[in-house]
Amino acid sequence: MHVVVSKKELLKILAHCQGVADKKSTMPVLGNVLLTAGKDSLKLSATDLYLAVLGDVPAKVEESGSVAVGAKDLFDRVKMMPDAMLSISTDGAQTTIRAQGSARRYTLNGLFGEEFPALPKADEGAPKMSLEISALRDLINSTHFSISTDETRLHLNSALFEWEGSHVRMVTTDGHRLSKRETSVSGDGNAKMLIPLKGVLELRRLCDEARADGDDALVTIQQSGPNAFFAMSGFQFSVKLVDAQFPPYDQVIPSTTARSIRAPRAAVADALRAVSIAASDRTGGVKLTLSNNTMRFSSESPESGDGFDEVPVEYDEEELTIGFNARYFLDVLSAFTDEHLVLGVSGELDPATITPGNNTDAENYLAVIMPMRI
Amino acid sequence: MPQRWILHADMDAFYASVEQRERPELKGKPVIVGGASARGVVSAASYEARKFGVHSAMPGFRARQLCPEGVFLPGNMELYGEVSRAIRKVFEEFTPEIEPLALDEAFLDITGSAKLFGGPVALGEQLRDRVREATQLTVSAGIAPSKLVAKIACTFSKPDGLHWVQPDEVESFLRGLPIRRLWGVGPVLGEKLTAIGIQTLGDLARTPQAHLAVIVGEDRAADLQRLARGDDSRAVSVSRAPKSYGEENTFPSDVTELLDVTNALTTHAEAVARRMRHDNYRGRTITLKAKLGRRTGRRTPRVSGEQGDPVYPLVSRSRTLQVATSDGPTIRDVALALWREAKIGEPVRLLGVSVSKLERRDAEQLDLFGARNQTDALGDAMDAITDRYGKGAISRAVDGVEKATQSNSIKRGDK
Repeated sequence: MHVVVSKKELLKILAHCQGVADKKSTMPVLGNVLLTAGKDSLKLSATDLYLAVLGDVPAKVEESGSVAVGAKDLFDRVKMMPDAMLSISTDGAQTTIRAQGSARRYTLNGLFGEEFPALPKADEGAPKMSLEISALRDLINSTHFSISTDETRLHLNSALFEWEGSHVRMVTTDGHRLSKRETSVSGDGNAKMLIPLKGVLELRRLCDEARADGDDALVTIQQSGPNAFFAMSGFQFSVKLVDAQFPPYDQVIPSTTARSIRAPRAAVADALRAVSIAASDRTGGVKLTLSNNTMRFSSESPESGDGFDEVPVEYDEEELTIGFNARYFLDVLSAFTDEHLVLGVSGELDPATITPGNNTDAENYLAVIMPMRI
Repeated sequence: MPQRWILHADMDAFYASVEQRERPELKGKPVIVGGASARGVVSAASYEARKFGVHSAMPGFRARQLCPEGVFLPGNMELYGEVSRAIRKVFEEFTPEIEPLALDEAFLDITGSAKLFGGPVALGEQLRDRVREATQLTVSAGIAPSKLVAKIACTFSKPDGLHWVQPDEVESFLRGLPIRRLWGVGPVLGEKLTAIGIQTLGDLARTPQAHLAVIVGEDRAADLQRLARGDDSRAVSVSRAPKSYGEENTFPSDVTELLDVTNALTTHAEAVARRMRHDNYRGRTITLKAKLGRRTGRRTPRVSGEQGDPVYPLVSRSRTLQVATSDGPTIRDVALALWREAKIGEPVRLLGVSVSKLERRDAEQLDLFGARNQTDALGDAMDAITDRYGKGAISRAVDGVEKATQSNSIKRGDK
């Protein structure tokens, strides 16, 4: 194999491959990225058997062929190359990278391309759904933080992605809080899948990059067999879906709350951040008290003292105090940009809701947080 | 600043003495607690047994070789705990600043109270009298300006004595002692130091720091030399918050069957969870510890000429949960998952479960789906029953682990 490619374009795809390749696997081949030279492009792919990513770089192909080389090693070396055209050539499985106009050169001991496992492929007939990349990005950005990081609870360690007609929805919960974001799309579709946290985070990176490129095009989504396939801006990404039952989330979303309080989002976030640093060790518990047109925040730690702040709001009913994990609250406040938030509360042990202040946004986004007994 | 005085109190052959107190017919006989099972280790030996060379942490079979006529007892931790609390009450008559190190051992800061009792030594003697009165057991005491020296002094007072080291005697007291007497100098470091000619604390203090730094690093070298000179300003820390809760056991014979592993991990997880609930803690990091059955070597013996303790490979795996727990089945499930992931595949001698990264339980995050709040209530209810009717009054049926049992029996049948 012998190809000439641009360093910049190669690095962009390599970065994702490197993120997906599994360096610690018991199958050492999974730590590699597979390079395949076709007609006028170089394909790069990597997989950890759960996620797989495949990208295309335009290339001048002198000789076609394939080779697998250590993903991290290749990434580190390409990064060190001057910004120029790079030549990648193989002698057997030994792979040499040179930069045009420079004496810098690396040789890597690779594996023959055939040793690399085949990536999953969508069935020809699997229906294709199209969604704006920016819409997928918003779905993920406003919900990913409430995915559980506990890998022993698979059904919570993933995001529910639902598509019904012209409605697309993402719901996540870690058992203590829940985020739900919906959006209307022009396309039509029908799907229900549980995307594991690792897959969600990789998708988020791909969306962010597509955006950084100014590429606000479409992502094509296919569900086929145990996998979901996402194609966008030169990348094909697949993820093995979680085969588990997502909790019955509709049942824990309160249909109404006894009180709803409108509050300035930025001021509340600022006060919460300030008060939370004085909260007890790792629990991060902050008390929120509503009375006399103020929303007061207080925290205390037996070791270090206490903290206090308040924000004016419209509230003249009886005093109510609820404890919250400040981080849960702050995550939600960074998930939308409205000037106001609406906090829905009932009792000190009942689930609270947070929605954006603007009515149309409020239909699209909802967060539920369970209180903390402080 | 007034002269600082630290008292290190250490009960004499504590477990064995408690046993002799409870059963007067054992007085004067070599009593050995622990090591009764084929492979347990000795946790205490009476002075009569020590004459035969038996000491704590010695493997049981070795103790039986040395002292065949010894009275081997399984030990009664509940009773020892009770006596320990009584001793603690006596200590509290002398100072509120107490740092317990074990059931039978504590540091007392008597800087402030020594005067009230007529000076440090007078206080020490009154304390020893009061312990004897209250428990019919003897305690030895070391009194010195620092924790380090007090602890070492205490070993010179045993049994049933008191050793006092004054500030101007500290250096000469330490100078001739072997380096292994210093905290933090274990067999490995000890050997390295001996290899470069450092035998005593005096040698250690005299060695240029740069020479030492080659072996232990600069920071550590400075620390060690400070300690070797008796310069130890560590305070008696009164309320030591726990860092972890753990339970472990050595099996009578090595185990390989998943069922045995499951049973042991279940028992440990429940015990750890119960202790955490009792103290109002939850923890996020769960650690599985396994000691493998095959021996890889021997430790340097404490007494030259004796056989050193055997060394077994240790496997340890941890996982940190997102939310702290004090729920037995949760801890068990993680421990079992860690066991599966460790793929040990060979006989195991010891299994342990511990929980760290602790949080107070009083700030409690409520659950959206209600599951965890119920498990908490269940744990509390089980604790209430145990408190009232004693250990074993209620235990969990082996839920959720039937599968493990089944696959186990299929494997057996296959053979």
